[in-house]
Amino acid sequence: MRVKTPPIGGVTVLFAVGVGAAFFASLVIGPADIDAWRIVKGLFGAADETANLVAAGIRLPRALLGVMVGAALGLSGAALQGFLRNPLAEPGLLGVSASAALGAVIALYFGVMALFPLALPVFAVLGAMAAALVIQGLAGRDASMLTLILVGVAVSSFAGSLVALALNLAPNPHAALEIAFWLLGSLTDRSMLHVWLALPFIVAGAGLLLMTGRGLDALSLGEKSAQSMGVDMGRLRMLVVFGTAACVGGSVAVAGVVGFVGLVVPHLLRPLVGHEPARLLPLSALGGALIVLIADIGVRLIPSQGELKLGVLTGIVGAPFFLGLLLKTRSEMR
Amino acid sequence: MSVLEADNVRVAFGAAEILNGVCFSLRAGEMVGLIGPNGAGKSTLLNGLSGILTPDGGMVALDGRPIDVISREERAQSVGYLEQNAVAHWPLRVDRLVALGRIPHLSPLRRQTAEDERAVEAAMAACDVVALAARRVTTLSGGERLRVMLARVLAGTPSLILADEPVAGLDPLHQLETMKLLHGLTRQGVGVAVVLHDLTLAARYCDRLCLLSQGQVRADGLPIEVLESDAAASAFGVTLKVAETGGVRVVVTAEKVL
Repeated sequence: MRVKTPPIGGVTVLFAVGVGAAFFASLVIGPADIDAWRIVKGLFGAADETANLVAAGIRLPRALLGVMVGAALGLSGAALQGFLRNPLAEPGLLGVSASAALGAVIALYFGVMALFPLALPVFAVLGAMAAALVIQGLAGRDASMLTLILVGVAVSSFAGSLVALALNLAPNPHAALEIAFWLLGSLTDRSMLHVWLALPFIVAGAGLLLMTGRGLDALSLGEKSAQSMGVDMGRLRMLVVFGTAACVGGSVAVAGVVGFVGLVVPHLLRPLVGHEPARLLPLSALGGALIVLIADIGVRLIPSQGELKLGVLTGIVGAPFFLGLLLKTRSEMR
Repeated sequence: MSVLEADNVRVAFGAAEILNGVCFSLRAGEMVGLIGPNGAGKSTLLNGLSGILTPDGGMVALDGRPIDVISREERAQSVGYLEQNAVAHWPLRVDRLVALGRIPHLSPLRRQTAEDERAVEAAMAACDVVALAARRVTTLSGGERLRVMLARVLAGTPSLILADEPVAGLDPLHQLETMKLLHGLTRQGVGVAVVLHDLTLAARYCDRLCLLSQGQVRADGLPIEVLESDAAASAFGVTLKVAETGGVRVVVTAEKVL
């Protein structure tokens, strides 16, 4: 008998190719009627002025953000589910998404955004970081999983209430509408500036989360067994909390709240890696990127009065899908 | 020769004293039973010995060195811990679960080597779970799952093993097999400390018994002496008699202590 690490190269390569294909599709599909070749030339500034502008200024940042946001959300979801040993966990659970959204809403509400436009993403990242710090402070180093989840629920509700307060007290309907639209989540009309702003946070966060693999594997056997195998729970918790905050903060900053990606993607991919938390991490990043790219192409193709928001689509497709999935697999989850 | 010692260990959760000046030792090659009524502090002592929990007072030492100056990895390589009611939270393949036992030996970026694979294979053979290798752990029976969890501990090739109620909830056959397996390990030089509620199994397989009650060690010595001691009678609230039938020791509850 040989106990070998099972190969996952095939699946990973397949997903990487899928992301590449979806990325290309995201570049060439859009309302402006420009053929694929002109877009490709436009990326290098070698086409006509319109194509150059559409390719490099509109389509490229949108596709790049799709990859970044999707990967960040998929990876965060996989890490949180592994850490909490709960397939229902998602970045929203710790209150990080809600707090990032609150940061963005504050920027919109107090008109800081009008003073300098970058306030919107900066405030979202600050919100996510604040949530992570509050969670760390309240849950402490040796808190149980239950405490962590409950603190997350509290932070989430509080941030949600403050967003509701902002909507409630909005000075005019236009301001309320702006806030409501932000909360829906979208990749439309983003620039390379958004890409550069989110990139450092998402890269740093992904780096932290990818370091959690072995600890998450050990945690499959429970907290005590993991500790007995030399896992430093305090360090692991820090990596997960701050990694998630950076990834989700960066994502919400540029795309608003895109729900269910962090929930559905790890859940779907888990069987492909033998349910092993460490091997799920990189695959969930790829899977998240793939799903967000496809969904973002979807909102461009689905005919509607005004473009459908990405977060609306992921919610409408994600929620019932996940419910069905849960009902189907309930028996095998303990 | 490995030795794990607790010296005057105190653990308190808030106002509740769980362990109050406990001294205990476990040496390579011996099988020590930790017995005592519910809430005596047996599991807490194992947690303290395994480094999961840091005592509020006293010291735990591995081979004479305080456990808190030893790196987590080094400690985990020497001391294996089998959690009470050990379960897997994901439906992992059995061989992959056992391989998790190698984690203490893996540095952050190193993948499994041939040596790791050999240790995993040996552990699976020792616990008779080779035939289960491709099964999902969630599909196993209680007895099978325990053997798999024990194989996970053995895969880390620890010199000392701490097992928290490994036979709880198992049928008589599996209880016997588990105890035999643990006992067999001591013959290979591994030290085993095991929390037991079944006093007959304790009398039969342990070289030494340590009786805990209300956070203190009340007796520590040969099984028969500890079980028939006044300390055991007052700790359990019943007098115990060790009898022998067909060459096998049995412990019977004689009567309630008034």
